[in-house]
Amino acid sequence: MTTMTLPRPSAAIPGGGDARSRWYTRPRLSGTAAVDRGRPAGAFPGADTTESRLSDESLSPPVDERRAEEAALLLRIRERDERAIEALYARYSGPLYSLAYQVTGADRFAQEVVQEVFIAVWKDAGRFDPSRGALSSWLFALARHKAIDLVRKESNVRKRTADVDLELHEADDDVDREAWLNVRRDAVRAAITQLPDAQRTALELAFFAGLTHVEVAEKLDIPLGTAKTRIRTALLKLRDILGPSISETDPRETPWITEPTAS
Amino acid sequence: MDHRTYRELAAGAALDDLDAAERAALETHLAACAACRDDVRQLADTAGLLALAAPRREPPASLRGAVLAAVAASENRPFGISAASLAYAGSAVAGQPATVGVPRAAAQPVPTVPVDLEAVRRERARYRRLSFVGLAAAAVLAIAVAGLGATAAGLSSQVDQVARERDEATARLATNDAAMSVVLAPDHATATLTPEPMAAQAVVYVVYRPGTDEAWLMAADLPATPPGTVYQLWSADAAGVHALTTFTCDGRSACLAPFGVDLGGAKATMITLEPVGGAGDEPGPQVAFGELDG
Repeated sequence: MTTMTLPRPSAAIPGGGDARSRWYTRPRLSGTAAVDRGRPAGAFPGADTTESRLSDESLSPPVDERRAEEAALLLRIRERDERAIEALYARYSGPLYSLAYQVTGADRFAQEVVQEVFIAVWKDAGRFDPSRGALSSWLFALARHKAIDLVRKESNVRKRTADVDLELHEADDDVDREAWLNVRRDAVRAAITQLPDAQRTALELAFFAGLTHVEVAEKLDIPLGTAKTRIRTALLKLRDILGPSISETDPRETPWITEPTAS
Repeated sequence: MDHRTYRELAAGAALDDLDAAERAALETHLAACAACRDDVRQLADTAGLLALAAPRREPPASLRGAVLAAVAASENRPFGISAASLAYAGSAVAGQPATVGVPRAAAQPVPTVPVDLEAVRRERARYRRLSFVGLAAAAVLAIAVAGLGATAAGLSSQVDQVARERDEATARLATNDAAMSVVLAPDHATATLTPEPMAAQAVVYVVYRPGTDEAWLMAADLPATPPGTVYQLWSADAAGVHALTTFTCDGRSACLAPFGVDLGGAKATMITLEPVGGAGDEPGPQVAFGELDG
């Protein structure tokens, strides 16, 4: 092939330079710190199964593959492909409906919440920022937000001022088609039981009963600032209990922060 | 504020309970602190896990259809318009005058035709995966079908344009279909590509079925290819480095590009920026790179 004179790269493009040798000597991405962007560094499916239950081959697909697959689904949604929404529905409608039902207490409200979540995804798939958390986290946050809005608006929704009993039924086990959802459900329920009682109660009231921290403070008869701190501390503690073994975040990519870092 | 306080705010973000001042303080801080960005992500995922603790209830089977219908109805523009099935009221179509594009010479009054919503809905269901063609152009086509001044030169060239756009939409649909079938196949593999700083905002993935040549690059927010340049796909395996298809990206939408080869044995893949026609002896500047499981 005759030599071709390439146009000079613009200033925005790092010099092509010795691109071929760069290609051959590219370091393996896992273990490098190149990803301050917060994007998945392309960890390799099946690599390093010692550390994390989530890379167990029986829990397909592994976290990083699912993340890539769901990002592909979001791209398809931006391209207006309804089958991608159908795929998301198949995977997440059950857990989303369950959360909405727990917060709103009624089937028709739970259905409305699920509908609004998928409409929001359809309209705003481009707004999902993978550096801020997993797709499932985004969906659940949308669902919880809309469920709480509904509780506020609908005066005839029973206000859940009674203690929230999460009713951890054994029969719930393995009800989702996807093993990783069931595994996580078990793990988080076990982790909740390890929270100090006061924190657990505050978190359950705020998260599942849709109470504001003002209402939680009133219910628990504690100052507002204390309620806010207690709820947030509970979530932080839950993160510590769950630990790096169960998270959408690749533990090799980000050190788990448990100690105060320098201000 | 020290990091302990920011950590609490990060938890507040995950719990959706930040007031305006807290949110502003946190967002400002996040711009400069990678550790706290990690906190935000981890806590968002913790809250996502917590959501799973709710007692599991199966939604009614009817919800699926209701959700999909609601999604379809939420679209501001129709999924697809077939001129043959669309009839417009005389004066307006979704706020656009029905005479858009009709040259002044065709001065006949536009007859009033009732809008058949049911036909529109049926047509939407059939053409639901066609990209949007353009309300104004479709209106022109509908008028042409209704038999008004179809021989006017200006009108027929606009009809041609609509036909071209629909061909492009159909071709794009075929691409979408092919890529989507890979994503939905149970034996598909995926890998992420890490973009270079020049494309720092891009999200780039490859989805492929090892053992077949069904392999697609899917990229969002790739910069538009400057005039005179294209992106080129490459793969590397035991046999060497292979230059594959080239494609352009308009910078506005998600970009799909086929590899056209079996990536089952490939070790890595990359995108480079090349002149139109592809790379010469050496690959051009690297845009994104990813290792594969081959």
